[in-house]
Amino acid sequence: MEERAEAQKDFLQQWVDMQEKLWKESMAMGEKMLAATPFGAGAKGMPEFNPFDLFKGYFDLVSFWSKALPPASVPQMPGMVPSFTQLYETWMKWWQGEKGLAGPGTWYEEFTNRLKKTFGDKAGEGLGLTVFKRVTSSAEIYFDVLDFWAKTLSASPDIAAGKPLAPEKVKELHDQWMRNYRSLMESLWGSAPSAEMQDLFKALAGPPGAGAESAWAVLAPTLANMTQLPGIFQRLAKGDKAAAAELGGLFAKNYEETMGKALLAPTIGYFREFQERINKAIYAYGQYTNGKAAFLSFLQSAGVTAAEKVFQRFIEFTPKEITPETYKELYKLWCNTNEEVYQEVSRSKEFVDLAKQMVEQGLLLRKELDEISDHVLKFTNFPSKKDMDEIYLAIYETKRDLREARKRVTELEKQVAMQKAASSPSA
Amino acid sequence: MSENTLGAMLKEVARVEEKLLKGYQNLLEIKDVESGVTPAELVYQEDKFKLLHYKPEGPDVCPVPLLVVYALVNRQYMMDVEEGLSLFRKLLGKGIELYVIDWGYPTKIDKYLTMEDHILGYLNNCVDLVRDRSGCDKINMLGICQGGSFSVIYAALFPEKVKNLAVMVAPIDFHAGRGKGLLMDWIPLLNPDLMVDVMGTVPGEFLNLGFLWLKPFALIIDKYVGLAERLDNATALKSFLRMEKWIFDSPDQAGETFRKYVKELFRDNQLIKGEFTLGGRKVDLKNITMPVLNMFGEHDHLVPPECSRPLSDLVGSQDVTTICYPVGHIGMYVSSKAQKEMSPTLAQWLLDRSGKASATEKGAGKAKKAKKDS
Repeated sequence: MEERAEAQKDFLQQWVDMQEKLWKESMAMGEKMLAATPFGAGAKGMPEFNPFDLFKGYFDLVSFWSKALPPASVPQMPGMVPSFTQLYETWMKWWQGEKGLAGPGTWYEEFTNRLKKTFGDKAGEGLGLTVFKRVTSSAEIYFDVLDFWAKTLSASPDIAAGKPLAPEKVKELHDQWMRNYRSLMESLWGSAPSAEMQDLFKALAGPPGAGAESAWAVLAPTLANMTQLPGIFQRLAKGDKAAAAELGGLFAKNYEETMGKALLAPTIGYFREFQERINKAIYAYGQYTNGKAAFLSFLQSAGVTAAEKVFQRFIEFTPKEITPETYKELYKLWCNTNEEVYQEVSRSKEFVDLAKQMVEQGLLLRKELDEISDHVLKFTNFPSKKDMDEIYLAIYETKRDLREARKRVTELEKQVAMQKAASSPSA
Repeated sequence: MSENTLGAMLKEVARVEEKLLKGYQNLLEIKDVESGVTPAELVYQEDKFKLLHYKPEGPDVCPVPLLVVYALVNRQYMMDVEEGLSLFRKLLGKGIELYVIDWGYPTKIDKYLTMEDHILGYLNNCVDLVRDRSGCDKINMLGICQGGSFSVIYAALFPEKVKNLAVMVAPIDFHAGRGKGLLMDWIPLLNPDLMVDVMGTVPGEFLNLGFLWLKPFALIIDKYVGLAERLDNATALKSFLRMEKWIFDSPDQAGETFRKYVKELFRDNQLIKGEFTLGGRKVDLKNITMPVLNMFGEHDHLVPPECSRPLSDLVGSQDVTTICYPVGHIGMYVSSKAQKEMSPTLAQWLLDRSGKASATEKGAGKAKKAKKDS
């Protein structure tokens, strides 16, 4: 009997310890999530996702150009000529075949890094600067595409010379093409499964301690269950768009049956209510990440379809000689073909379903985060979101009543004036 | 990499770099561009809503003023974005007095603003004010895009206050564009209840993301690559910046208005079914008996022509003019092709229906008003 009571005590103690650890870890993870998710505590409390962020990083290039300009043009930027000369020399060495120096893409990156170190970010704001950032971001894509075409054209001098290709050469070119193209498109849509998903797994698996171990014990079967994964990834690589939807469904199903159940299970302890809210938020985050991963995977698989189409058109493309205009034409071919493919993709049921799912899961996550914030604010003098909502409603109703009252007063004033006019002796 | 291949590529890189270099200073010097080029007077303000007045030019003034009702999405200065491409300027030049609605930028506090508040409140107050100021019992109305839907609803509810109704790229049959415009396919699938309950107001950035996704490669990449070619041309650059400012100038959407618009119009298509109600009143399009001018763009990917065209058959008016221009949605406001044809046509259509008869009516209106008042 005594032994049993002791065992119960131990169990409870362990449970309390685990709750405490889980709570601490959840808080740390919550902070990480807030920083990671576009539905986190943004400036306006809304998605902060900016499509231009997909291509960020090239604004630093501005510094390079500023530095490379003749001093007379930009007198405020001294010391740019030696730096430009140094970079130019590096470039020339590479061109002349010196080993150990990178190709144009890396060379470009090196420019930006060097300039970042020397000058730092150009301060300031304004419409012009914002647009310039967009232009440089797009220029990055443009140069990436040029780099890709340069590699492709070099791999096949016959095409560059306008000669027909042998079948085995086409096959070789195709394989290389798909490899390079995939890495190019990954810079647009991110890699699958998403980095956040991988981070979540790492976060759950990484920290030592009973709480994390328990969490991992629940999560491990999720991963073990997904025996279909390799097959799905193979299909994704071949451009099977339905595989993306399956991937999302598979993650969601396994997650709900294992980790999801644990997160939604009742908890006990001093912070029971708060713990449950945290668990719900983590669950919502998992759902949102699943949705996002599935959506991005879908875009990637569409990219494979686009790659095939671009390749077909490229094979038919036989320039007489390679000039700067050749690259512009190839860029246009890439751009237009992708637009066609993504237009078609955007109309598909899979796209609409996955996008809808991702947006709704993002909103549900935001809702859970709001609940946590409201719960915390309950113990302070600060108004919560719910309080503010009630205030907004009260203000709205008061304004509406006031408008009605004003209208009524105006009508009454008119009636009084009419009556006065009617009863005056001159009437 | 072969030398000629690499050389060509590096030449192209250097060429684009040079263009960017030249444009860099140009761009950094431009902190902002003006929102609209024609001076206007603020004549009415209620909450964030404003009414702007533009005085006509020249000796011959159209006796009936025109109230322009723009959409809640984006801003009304699109029609006055640049000197040579200003619809406002062209109408003012023809002697048409303009009143233009500026819906403002809703914030969290505006979550509860309804479509009733917008149409039966702000818009109706505005119409009454313009009627009072002009002495006309009925005024002319031009509704654009979502503002076109609002104007049609208003004209059906208050036909006694609208003399002529012109609409431009107005969504009316929300189901007819399915499969033709991606927005028409996507928006009905949104969960407006969840969006409004969670966010209160719907972020303009969210809607913008949807617009960009309609043509991701053209709008996110190619547009800016193309600009790089023109960065050294200060005039072209400023033009681009004006448009760019407008495109990203997207107000948040008042929650309750968004909820009703998406559920009852986009999803249920209640307007053309005769099921739509506002403030407890049924909106019957057959009540629109005044002359109607229905204009839309053949290549409009946001509001496909199929969504706008049906209005012409649904109204009760005997005087309906339907014009389809070979332009897209934005081209309708700013393309030189549309400007050459559309603005003179609109002006003439209004003048023909607001001329001498209207002047007489104006007097009669005043008399009628006086009689009613007494």
